[in-house]
Amino acid sequence: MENPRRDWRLWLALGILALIAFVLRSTDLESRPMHTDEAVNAVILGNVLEGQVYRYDPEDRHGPTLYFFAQPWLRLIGVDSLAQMEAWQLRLVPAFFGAASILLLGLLVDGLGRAAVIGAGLIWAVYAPVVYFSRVFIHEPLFHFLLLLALAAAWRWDRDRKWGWMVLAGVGVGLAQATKETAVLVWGAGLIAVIITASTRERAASWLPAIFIGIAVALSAAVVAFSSFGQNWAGVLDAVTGYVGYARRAGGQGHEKPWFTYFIWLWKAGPVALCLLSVLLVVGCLRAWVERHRDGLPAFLALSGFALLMFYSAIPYKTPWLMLAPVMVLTMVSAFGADWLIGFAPKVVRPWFAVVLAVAWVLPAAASTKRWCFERPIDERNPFAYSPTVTDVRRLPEWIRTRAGDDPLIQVIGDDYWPLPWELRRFPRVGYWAQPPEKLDGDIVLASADVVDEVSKRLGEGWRPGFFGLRPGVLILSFSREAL
Amino acid sequence: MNKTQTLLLTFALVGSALAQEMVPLKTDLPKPLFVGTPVPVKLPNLEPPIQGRRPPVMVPEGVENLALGKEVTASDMEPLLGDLTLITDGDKEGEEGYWVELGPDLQWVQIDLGEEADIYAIAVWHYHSQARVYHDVIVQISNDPEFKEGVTTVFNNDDDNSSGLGAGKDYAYIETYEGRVIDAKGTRGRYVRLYSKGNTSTEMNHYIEVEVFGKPAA
Repeated sequence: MENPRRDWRLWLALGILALIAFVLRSTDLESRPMHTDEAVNAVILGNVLEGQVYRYDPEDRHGPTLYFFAQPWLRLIGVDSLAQMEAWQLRLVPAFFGAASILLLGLLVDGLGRAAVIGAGLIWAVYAPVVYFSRVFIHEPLFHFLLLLALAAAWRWDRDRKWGWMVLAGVGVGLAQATKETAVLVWGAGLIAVIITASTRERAASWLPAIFIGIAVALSAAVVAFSSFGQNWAGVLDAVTGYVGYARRAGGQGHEKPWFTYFIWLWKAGPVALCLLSVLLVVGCLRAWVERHRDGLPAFLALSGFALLMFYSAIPYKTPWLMLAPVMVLTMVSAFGADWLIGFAPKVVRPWFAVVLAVAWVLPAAASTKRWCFERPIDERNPFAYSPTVTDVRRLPEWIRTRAGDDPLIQVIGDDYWPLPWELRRFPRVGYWAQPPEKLDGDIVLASADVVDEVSKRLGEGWRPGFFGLRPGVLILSFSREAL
Repeated sequence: MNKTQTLLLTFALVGSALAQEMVPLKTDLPKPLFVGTPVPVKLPNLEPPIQGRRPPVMVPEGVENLALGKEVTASDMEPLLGDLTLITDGDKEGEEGYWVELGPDLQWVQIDLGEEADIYAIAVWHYHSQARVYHDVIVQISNDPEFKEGVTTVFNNDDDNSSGLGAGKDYAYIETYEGRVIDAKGTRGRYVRLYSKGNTSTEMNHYIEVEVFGKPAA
């Protein structure tokens, strides 16, 4: 096959798809209020921008790479603190990595074929779950980009035997590990797939020396990241010992759901697009089996994708963004199946058949993307809107200014107040307490449901209560002085 | 030290203090604690977190629900979900299929009682399968179907007049299965109009049921 780096038509097609993907990911980014997870990431990033060393804490946080990659972009546009941030600035980071992932597919062209690579790019560009979470300031899009970088670089090393590729693969693995703790599931799934596919291929043995180099580079990259470039060595130890906590959290902690939940979410998002992808996945698996004597990349993807889906389904802890990793791997196999199906058509009508197949999938997929990503991004019926922040909370800053001016003392009390630190980021005097403090002397007091009785009693007369929604069914009570 | 020296020293200290520039005292406030992804809430029929005592609404004996089965009109005559007849059909269940959803921003529904009546109480259920609060709830009674003349406001919790119908003193409240009973104090009128302006969970406006308790005017 032609050297993929010289196949300009392939890169043009992927470039156009990446552009479409970026437009879908970067349009109207302010329409949705900041999710709690996004707000937490924004506050951590704000601390880093303001000069604090990022200290990796495995309890309720992920790795440091998102903040390291976001930091230069924000500095470039003149943002140096949380107070200066806007949601769109942060969400452009996952949008960029989500779209850039499509370009990496080009490095796999000699393993999957040109049509399959372009097909996978098309699916990633417009499929609702992939688009939705590339518009959210969370770790997943960067995580998937790094995983794909590792996969593509390892594949190129296998093809070209140039050491630079193996070093790049090691960097991808190390940084992916330093992005999300769930990377171990990917390594497990990949290992299973390698063991099974290697038995049919002899060249596996030739990988061993390179694997040692790759692992060394990966470990180095992970250590650099977890230690915050040598400023917090405890972070490296925490990255290992943190798995005790992760194992405990995998039990659910309120997020436990049945094993088939991911299927239900994908079905609700768009049954037609899911059915077609599933049929093509079966075809892709069949082709990978029939052509197993070839390079083995499709078989590796199919096996690792199913193993990953099995792992995620078996773990009780489930959130919709976790399904993205197996979805992205398995959709590559679907595209590989579509390529095979198209090949059965007579040569004259083959291009038309490809167009019809693409349109048949894109139309329903684009409709569900439009509905869930743009029209109803926080609707309770949206399968991707998981504990979304409601728009009501956006009234709060203006409400505070109307009642207490631009520089009030704001006391936020309770155990459920996120994402208020984001919404209140421009007020200089805001304090947060889990329990009511000794002195309740704020101009504005905001209390979550668990402490509202005590706060209300202690404030006594002269305070007017009001309500703001944080998430569906979760309220925060606001108290302002009657005289104001 | 003699008295003169002491006096001079005191003046010097006071003068020195007065000469210093005064700045606001800055204290460190506690930072927010980081949390994980919040668990979605599924709590049907939540009791209100504030257990305030609500005095019962007193009505004359023999009043009945005059709104049952009566015609309902609205600012949004093509609701997003459900239809306006649900508001006076007598069903107060919380599930989908029992409520009507009107569009965002300020919306109203209006019940035509068919004849003038003395109205003593109005009970309203917006939504009660989730803890939420409806904004700018305003309830008015009039004999004018346009609500331009002879309008009596019996409930208004729009404390900042953001809906433009006048600032109200009533408090916002969390929706529950008990609904909200409003004392209409025997106000005479044929039409009852209820406003709301979105809620704490969505920008939409919902109604499950409205009951108007009274007697036909003598």
